[in-house]
Amino acid sequence: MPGEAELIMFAIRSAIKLGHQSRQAYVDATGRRELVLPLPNFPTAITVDSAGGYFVGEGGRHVTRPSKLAELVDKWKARTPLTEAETEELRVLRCECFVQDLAEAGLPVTATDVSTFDPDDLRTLLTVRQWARGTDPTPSALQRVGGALIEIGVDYLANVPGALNAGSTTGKLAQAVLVGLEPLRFSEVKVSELPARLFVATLETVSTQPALLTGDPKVQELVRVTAKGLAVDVGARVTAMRAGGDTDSSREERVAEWGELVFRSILSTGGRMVLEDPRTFLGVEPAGEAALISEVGKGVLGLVLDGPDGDLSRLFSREGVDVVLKAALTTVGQHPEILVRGKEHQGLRVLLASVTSELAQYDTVLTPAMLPEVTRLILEKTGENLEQLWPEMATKPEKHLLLTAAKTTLAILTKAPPAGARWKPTFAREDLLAVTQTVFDELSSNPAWLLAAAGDTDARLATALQAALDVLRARGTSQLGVATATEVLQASIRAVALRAEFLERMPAGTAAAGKPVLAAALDAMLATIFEPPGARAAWRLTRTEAVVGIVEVGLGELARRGASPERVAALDAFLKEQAAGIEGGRAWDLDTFTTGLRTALGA
Amino acid sequence: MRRMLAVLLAAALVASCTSVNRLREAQESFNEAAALENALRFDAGLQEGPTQSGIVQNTTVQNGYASALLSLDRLEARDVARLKRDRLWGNVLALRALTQWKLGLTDQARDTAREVQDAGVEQVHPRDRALLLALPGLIKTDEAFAALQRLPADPTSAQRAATLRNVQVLVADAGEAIDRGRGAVDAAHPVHVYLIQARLAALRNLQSAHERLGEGDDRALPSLRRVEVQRQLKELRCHAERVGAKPEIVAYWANRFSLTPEAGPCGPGT
Repeated sequence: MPGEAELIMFAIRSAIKLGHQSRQAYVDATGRRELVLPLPNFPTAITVDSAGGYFVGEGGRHVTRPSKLAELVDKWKARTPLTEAETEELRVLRCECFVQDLAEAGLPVTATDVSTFDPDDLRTLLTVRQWARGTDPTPSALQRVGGALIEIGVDYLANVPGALNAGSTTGKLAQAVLVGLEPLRFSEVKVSELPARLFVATLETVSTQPALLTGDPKVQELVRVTAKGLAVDVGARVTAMRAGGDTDSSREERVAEWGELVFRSILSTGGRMVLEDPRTFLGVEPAGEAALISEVGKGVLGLVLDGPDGDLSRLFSREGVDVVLKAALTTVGQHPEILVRGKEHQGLRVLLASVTSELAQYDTVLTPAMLPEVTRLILEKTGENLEQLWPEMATKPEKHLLLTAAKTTLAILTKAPPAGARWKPTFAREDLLAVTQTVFDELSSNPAWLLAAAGDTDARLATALQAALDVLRARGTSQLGVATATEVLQASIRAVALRAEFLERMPAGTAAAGKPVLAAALDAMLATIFEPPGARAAWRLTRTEAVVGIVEVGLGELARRGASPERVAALDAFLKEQAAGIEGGRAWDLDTFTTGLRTALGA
Repeated sequence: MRRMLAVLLAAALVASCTSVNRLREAQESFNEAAALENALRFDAGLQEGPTQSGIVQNTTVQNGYASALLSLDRLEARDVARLKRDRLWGNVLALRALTQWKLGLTDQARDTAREVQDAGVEQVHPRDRALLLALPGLIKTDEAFAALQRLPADPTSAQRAATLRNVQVLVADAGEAIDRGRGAVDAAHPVHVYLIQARLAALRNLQSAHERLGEGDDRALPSLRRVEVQRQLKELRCHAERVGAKPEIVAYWANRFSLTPEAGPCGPGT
């Protein structure tokens, strides 16, 4: 392999060649650009003079004598003023007689005055190319770029001997890129540097991916359809940006860069999956061209570039793209209907765009690279339980239960602690992902609970999470680590998924009146743990495994036996008795605690 | 490193494209103005005089042409040199002449069009060459129309005769210039569709002049001219078919003249 210096020199030479050819293509396109041509002025209206002139000239054969028409024509010819009725009559007679002329000449008869045109027809008639068809001596943009690509290929060959041998696998793959790009009109696909990017990306990727060097023709197909799909998509994006007047060269370059990055990711990350299941991924739809692999690529590109405030490339790294792409390919491989069904096959794209618009705000400096991971979780879980999690995929692809749940989860957990909170740490990326994953697991593996809650899943989840977090904020101390708090939240989610009663309100007259049962139960446990009767109890109970163990056992037993206010009171009493016992020197372990709690709740 | 290189190259590319960008801006403005003008003209088929004046005075249309001319006037000497090197000078000349014509700067338009003789063959491509050669004819056609517009409501017979003679001369000159333009390009070039219509526009002014200003049998387009119109209508039909346009355009012009196209199949030259 060549050294870095050689590669940089190669890149410089390539860029110069492509830059020159791109400019030349731009010049050619300007020279051949169509012009809309305005006509000189002329009388457009058909007047009484038009009618008179017709009967004096070509229409004279229609004028028999004596007749009313002959009278009218003679008056007009002698400039004798005609009445309004006579004027109208002369005009009508012209029209009738001319229609007869047209019919006799075997021409399409139009009794009406054709004086308006379809705008498209008018454009066709008065928009003129520089050159007659087939006579333009300048090469097409693709020819120009293609020429530069050949030079670059030769240059690359000088650095990597044998790489572009037509018989070699690399050579065939390089050819596949060009075949994929060949039908595109680069005067329309606005980013002329993209072909070179894809070309070089292919050469570089295959050299590091032995799986792609098997000589399998499917790899060439993968390269071909992906290159074409992404080139069209990138071109359309740039066109739209230009039409909206919302672009500059660096933004366009960024779009091309991401197009290249997604292409590399498909080759390296998705290549193996595609090769293992070519029928699914390279299968061509009836419409003609949209192989699933390139549709997934476009969807992922949309995820990166279609943020509500412009592109989200700051949120994605190469690894992030790989993560999402792999998850998307897995899901689509399991459920190709995600792309095949629904509104113009946009299911995946709409979902990814919705992920972007709904969740991008939670990817911050404090929680970097959240978005790719949450997207991965959504896609993976979707594949496990498509029907329940995405019930309106075909009609409203943006409505996805996991997306809603993720938004709720992240919104609650990233909120700043309230002013009076005792426990104020913020959750890190891993903590947020852990809770989100638990939420997804429960939503995915408890379809009955999910279905029963359809419509208000969001409200139940929000109630549960907010209640648990409120207790953590109120009762936690500096001894409560964020990781431990995260496990408490996870346990709370699992408990609520098992027992909906956790969300019922505590009755009046109790200490936690009006709060969810979950909050009361957690409060009982955390109050005992973090406000123990003495140092011995504190020493024993605030250890991480004790906190998590007590919460899991406590909520688990309530879920098993029924989360009633009475049992919460029993739990509270049992915990206080346990803490007092520890403070008094009694030995304590989780197994004994579990057995004792079962007895207490059973009673 | 890669990013810096890309930025440097992009900067170099942008700098070297300034002249071309100016031309493209001008093309853009001109096309928008011309498209609007055409739409107004063909929408206004049944309304005489005032509508035509409305098109000429339409602010949006005029601003579009002015904007195109402004972009071209911003070209500096080094831009001109660059455009000549890029063989785009003919594009500039054609666009400038057309824009000057539409803004009523007819003397300047003629001067610009004359530059085609000095520019080398390699600079002026077919459409632009045809347009530059035909441009004096387009100007004369507008002058014929303006002469008819200037007539008082009730002209004297002397005024009628003088104006008719003037329009006859202008239309004859226009025809020659437009034919020169048509002669400069292959028979299959799409610019014929435009130039034939420009020729018909000139003849329509002549027909209107005869109908309004002639005496007796001379109040109709003379028979030789009628034959010429019919031949032009046939050519328009043939060329329109070639570029895939609908036949309505032929019906439009046939209706203006109350004349049918010449019969017969399209030949290689039509």
